[in-house]
Amino acid sequence: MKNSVHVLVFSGILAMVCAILLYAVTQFTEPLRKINEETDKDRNFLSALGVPIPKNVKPRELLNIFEKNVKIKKIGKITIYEYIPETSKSGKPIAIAVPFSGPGFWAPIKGVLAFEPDLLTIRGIRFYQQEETPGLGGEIASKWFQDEFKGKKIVSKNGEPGFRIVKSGGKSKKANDTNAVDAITGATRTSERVERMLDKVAKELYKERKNYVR
Amino acid sequence: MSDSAVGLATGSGTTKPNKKKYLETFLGGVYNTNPVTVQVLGICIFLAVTIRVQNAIVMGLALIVVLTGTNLFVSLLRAYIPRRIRMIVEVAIIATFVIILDQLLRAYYWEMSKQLGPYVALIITNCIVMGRAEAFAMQNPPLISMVDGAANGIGYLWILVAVSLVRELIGSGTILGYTILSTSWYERNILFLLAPGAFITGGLLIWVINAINLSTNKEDAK
Amino acid sequence: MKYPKSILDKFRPSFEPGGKLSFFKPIFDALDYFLFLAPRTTKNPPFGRDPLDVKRYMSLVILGLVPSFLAALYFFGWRVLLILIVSYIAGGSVEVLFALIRKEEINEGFLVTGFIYPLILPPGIPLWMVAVGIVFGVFIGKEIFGGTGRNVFNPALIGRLFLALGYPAAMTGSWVKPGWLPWGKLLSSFTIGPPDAVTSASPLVLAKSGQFTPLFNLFVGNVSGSLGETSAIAILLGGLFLLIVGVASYRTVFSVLLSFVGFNVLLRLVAPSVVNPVLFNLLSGGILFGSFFMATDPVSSPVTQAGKWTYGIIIGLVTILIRSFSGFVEGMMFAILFGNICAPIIDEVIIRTKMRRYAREE
Repeated sequence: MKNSVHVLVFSGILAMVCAILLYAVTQFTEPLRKINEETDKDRNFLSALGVPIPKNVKPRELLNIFEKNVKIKKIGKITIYEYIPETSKSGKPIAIAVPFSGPGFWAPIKGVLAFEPDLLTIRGIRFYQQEETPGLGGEIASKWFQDEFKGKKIVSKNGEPGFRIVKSGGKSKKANDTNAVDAITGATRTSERVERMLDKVAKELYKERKNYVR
Repeated sequence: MSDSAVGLATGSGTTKPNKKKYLETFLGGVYNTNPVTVQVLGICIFLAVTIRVQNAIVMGLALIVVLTGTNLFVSLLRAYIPRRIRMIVEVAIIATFVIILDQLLRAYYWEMSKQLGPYVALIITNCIVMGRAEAFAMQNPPLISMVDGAANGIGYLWILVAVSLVRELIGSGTILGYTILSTSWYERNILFLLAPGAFITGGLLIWVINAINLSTNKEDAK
Repeated sequence: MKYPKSILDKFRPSFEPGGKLSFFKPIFDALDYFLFLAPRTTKNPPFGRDPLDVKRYMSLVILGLVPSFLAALYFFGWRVLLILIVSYIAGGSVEVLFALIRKEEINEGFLVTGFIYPLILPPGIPLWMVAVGIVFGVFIGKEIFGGTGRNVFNPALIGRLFLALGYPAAMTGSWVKPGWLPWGKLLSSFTIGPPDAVTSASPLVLAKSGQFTPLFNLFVGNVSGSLGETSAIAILLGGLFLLIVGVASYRTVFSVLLSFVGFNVLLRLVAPSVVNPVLFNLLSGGILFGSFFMATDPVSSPVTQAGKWTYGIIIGLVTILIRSFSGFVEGMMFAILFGNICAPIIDEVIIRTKMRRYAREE
């Protein structure tokens, strides 16, 4: 009987102490964690849009840059992020970002495509959430793969909207259409899935584009 | 916790450990009964974080903190912990520690925390922490328990770093992110970035260590 | 032949224990044995109860592989020979090194491993990769388990697995278009240089996008693929020879093939869009080569007869599952290695059940 009381009292006190400690720490770190999580996405949007970000920028400053330079708009069902530099007088966007997402090989992939103001030519691409196999599918986060997209379009030479990631069979079969890049060798599945989500966003965007570009 | 708890705990413990015992405890954790190479514990995290040297270092340091902390508190409370629920109590202490650490990493080292993914939180399930609490801290006074915790953490750290050096070099051609083997002539071996790479490297390391121990033991016998 | 023998005998004392060169005794013995067939009994398993000793066993396997090798030579050119030489030198060095360390005889087992291994590689593979693969295969796949007769896995397959997972880009980009009548690639030089470096996807890769290579080409072998596995007719020639002389266990071969075909038919009924037709599947990829030459490896397959059937069924099933439903187009390598893992357990279970039955009968 005495034993049970001991167990109860001890576990009660321990649970209280642990709970208070955890509560205090989560409360204390919450604002910092929140801002980290938010700026993580913003940082990728800014970098895709080509907004200059100072080195070692504090999360709060980054949010500030984002708010000052980026305007969120909706065309049709698609949310777009316009980059209008705060110093610009004309108020015209110099780049536009469109987020995309879809299933990856292991876990969902989320990313953002940045376009020139014509909403056809790709300016940059970033993947801000991906857990693909490191060294294989994980290469989508690497610079060489993302650099491939620069200057590509979301329409083919023949004017068809869409996007392709081509399996390059040696040197002769390199991607040469305006809307195609080379796949990552050895990561067929990741390439296929990224292609699917890019193709979808390209087609949707092309449809809504008429309502946006005048 | 309170001063009286410390006094009581040390008082009720075994005879005061001497210098030799401290040294033995320390060497045991770092080498002789190393958590990875001898006890083969904490392998899940070992497989995941040894892809990069940087991740390995951070995980090793995190484990040193958690092990030292939990060993201290378990040892302080050992006279009061009811035997029947001691495992649950140990887990509660470990979990509290790990969650606090995870939250702090998220707040102050976001990039690192993102790279380590779920593995920081998974320290809770790392058998080394539970093992040391149960095997050592429950029977020994606080100070030497802390030494034991830190030593096992250091033992884990150096193995992680050793294996990650090999894996990052062969798998990515880099060390700590700096290019050592240029991809212009070096073909990166992806296998070393996957789990089998950790098994192979870890297995070979255990072999080497066992071989060294065997030969030194033979010399001792002479 | 007396003269060279007397020379060898002259040097023999210095290789005996205590002699100056005793460390190199295994090399001396191998030379002696190879040249003069010194009558000796095997010291290590696998033991045979008939005149078929390890040495003859190995030479018969190599004889069975010759048709596939010649086909590879014809379709992919002289580079095949180069790959074989690299395989023997690199893998042989590891073998010799361990024989010296262990102070054991150099084993003939490697002659087969070093011969099979090139035949399961893509033709355009860089030569250094050939060496890395076989060194890994012999070292990790065989020597650390205790050498010939003690390996859990087929060393040649371990070598290929290492390359397939470690250098997937190079491995999938090394398929080469085969030569065809009248001279194949026999007139080309040793290199598969830029003019020839037209990589062409293997039939199984093409099948994923609905292009099925004609069965005749698969049967003859003028298709892209690993060196020895493209020509079904060459494999059947060598394989049937091994079955007839009793070196390859017909239980293993038939159970692999029957299970593969059986499950293929079943799965095609369920999911015709992802499962290839039976004959196409049977003639393409490594299923034939693997079932005749690799699954039958006596060391890494089960010993019991019932075990061999079980083992074969597992391999056939796993192959068709991987081929049809995974990201890989070929499953034979993984399937055989998976079978290798299961082999000791299968034997254990079967022997225990039998023992229990005997115990009950008495």
